[in-house]
Amino acid sequence: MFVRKYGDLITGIFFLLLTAFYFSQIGTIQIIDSGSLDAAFVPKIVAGAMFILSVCMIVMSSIKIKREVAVFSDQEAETTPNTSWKSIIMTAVLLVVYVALFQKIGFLITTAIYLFLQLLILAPERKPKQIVLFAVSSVIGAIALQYIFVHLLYVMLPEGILR
Amino acid sequence: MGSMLLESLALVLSAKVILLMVLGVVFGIIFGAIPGLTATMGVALGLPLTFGMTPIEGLSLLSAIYIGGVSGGLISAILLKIPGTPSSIATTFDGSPMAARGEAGRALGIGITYSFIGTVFSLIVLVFIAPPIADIALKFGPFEYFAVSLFALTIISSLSEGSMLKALISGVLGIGVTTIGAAPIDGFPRFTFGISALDAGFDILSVLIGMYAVAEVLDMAGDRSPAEKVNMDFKVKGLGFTFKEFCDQTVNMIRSALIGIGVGILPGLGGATSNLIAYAAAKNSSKHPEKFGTGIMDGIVASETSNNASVGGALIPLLTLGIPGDAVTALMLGGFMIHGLTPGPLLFTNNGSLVYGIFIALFVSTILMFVLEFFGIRVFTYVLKIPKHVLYPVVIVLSVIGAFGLNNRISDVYALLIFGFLGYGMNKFKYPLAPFVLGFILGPIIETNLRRGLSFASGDFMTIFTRPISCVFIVLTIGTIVFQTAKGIMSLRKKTEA
Repeated sequence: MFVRKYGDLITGIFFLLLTAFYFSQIGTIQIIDSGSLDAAFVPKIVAGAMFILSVCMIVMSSIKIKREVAVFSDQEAETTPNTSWKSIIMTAVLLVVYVALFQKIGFLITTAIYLFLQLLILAPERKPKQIVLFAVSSVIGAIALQYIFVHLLYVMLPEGILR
Repeated sequence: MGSMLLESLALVLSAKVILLMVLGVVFGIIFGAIPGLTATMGVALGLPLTFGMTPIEGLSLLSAIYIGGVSGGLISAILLKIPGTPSSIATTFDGSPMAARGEAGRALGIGITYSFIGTVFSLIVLVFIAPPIADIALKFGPFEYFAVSLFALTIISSLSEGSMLKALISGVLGIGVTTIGAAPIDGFPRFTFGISALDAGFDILSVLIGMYAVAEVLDMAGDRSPAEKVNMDFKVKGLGFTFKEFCDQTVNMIRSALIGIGVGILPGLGGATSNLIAYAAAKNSSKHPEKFGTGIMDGIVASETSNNASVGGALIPLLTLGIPGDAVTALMLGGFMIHGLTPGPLLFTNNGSLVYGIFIALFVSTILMFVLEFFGIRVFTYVLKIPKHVLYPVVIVLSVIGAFGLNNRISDVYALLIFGFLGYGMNKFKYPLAPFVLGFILGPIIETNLRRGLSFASGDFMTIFTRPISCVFIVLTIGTIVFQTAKGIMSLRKKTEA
């Protein structure tokens, strides 16, 4: 509900800050006077447009929040989304770790481990028998993908420590 | 022409290419049918498969996935009451009530047949319209490309659903991201912060795969709703309708096909919009509008004809101008680039046999789609039963392989994650992704051509009005902006009065 009520305001402020940073960096762009437009022209337009749009966003969302306080508190109870933040955050962290180790350790090992952990995070039930099944299928899956892409489709994948 | 056509036929009609198309159509239908996986994701994940292939093999495979993906959504729209892709939203309106009456087989038969008809219709238009447009486009200079792309960009703001402000922010953000990396023309680095991986900017494919595959998986990772029930109790007998019923639908079919093609040509829109417009048009001009939504044939015909007709429409600007109008065609553009080809008018002159090869591949894929869906419908319904937690990890691994395989560098995979997270955040805060993608695709085209045009014209911007094509598009652009602003002010005034 927090997202629904304050989401527009938060994103408006976020985009304004982002624009300020973007604008501050425009000065670092090297330009030459060629009698035509330079490399900083489009960034300036983007910064200007983004500034106007994010200010509009902040103003309009503030007005909306003031006006709709009562409406929001009424709706609050009726919509309880079926969202598991825990699995989203765990998936996000897992993805970052997977990508960070992807090249160093290699496709085969990281993918097998990633598949196993991701299955554990997403599966609705985790019985011992299922965990074994996940482990076995993750290893088989990683080997199959490696074989298909490297040997049949000629895609280069990092070998990592298995080199 | 004749010899070129024979050459193209020889290219496409080899056992290997046909086998690839069969696999592509099946892959596409599966991605289209499973809610949460989309045709766009199917094409995105199909890209890495094509790295080691010849151009015609790779592009035939991608075309097959695209055709299968747009059509596959009807299966879940009818059997699960959930559209498998946004293209089949309107199919659920009459498809699921018909299925609920015990006529799922008839609904599927109608859906599959009109998917086929819609695609064929639009491909015929593509084949006849594309070459003359390409001829005109040959005369395009930088100002024309600038004006056409700028016009395309204004369309997104006017046609996006929900908050216009959010659509605009999303579009400008997309353009902003393209300013990272070396500037066009002079090559000066911008916003790279000394990171050499940023010098070339972000690869369009890592951006798209991130936004359409990784973001989607993150979204579904938190979804704890129970699995949908698949209606398995149906029989497909014949096509599901009589010849008289077919004749009765002629007007509806043609109107829906034309809507689909028209909407497909427009940038930022595709089957996801055309099916709703065609459904509304069919309902409004019907003698019995009250029956819509109760499970009548008209609704399925309108939706399925139009969404598939958008395929041919969307390919027109891509092939003739090299300007993709949406995420799927941008991915197709990526497919061309991987094989060293640049879509646009020159493709018709330099690689004519390849262009005709793609046309043939599209037709063959459409026939395969019809046959495979019709006879393999049972198999596809079983696919709907595969649990999500098994599918999503595989989608992620395929995305990572795709991003890494582009240039064999890990920075593309990091970009994949960054845009996956960004896409997820935008979805959560209800910022539409389509304007971002369009801004990202069109931003560099607009900038490069504006700067190139101005240096040809020694900095005189008024030259743009002296060239007829660029002048028309600039006027159209200004018109769209004025019209949209006026509309916005009017609706705001109405709101405050109310």
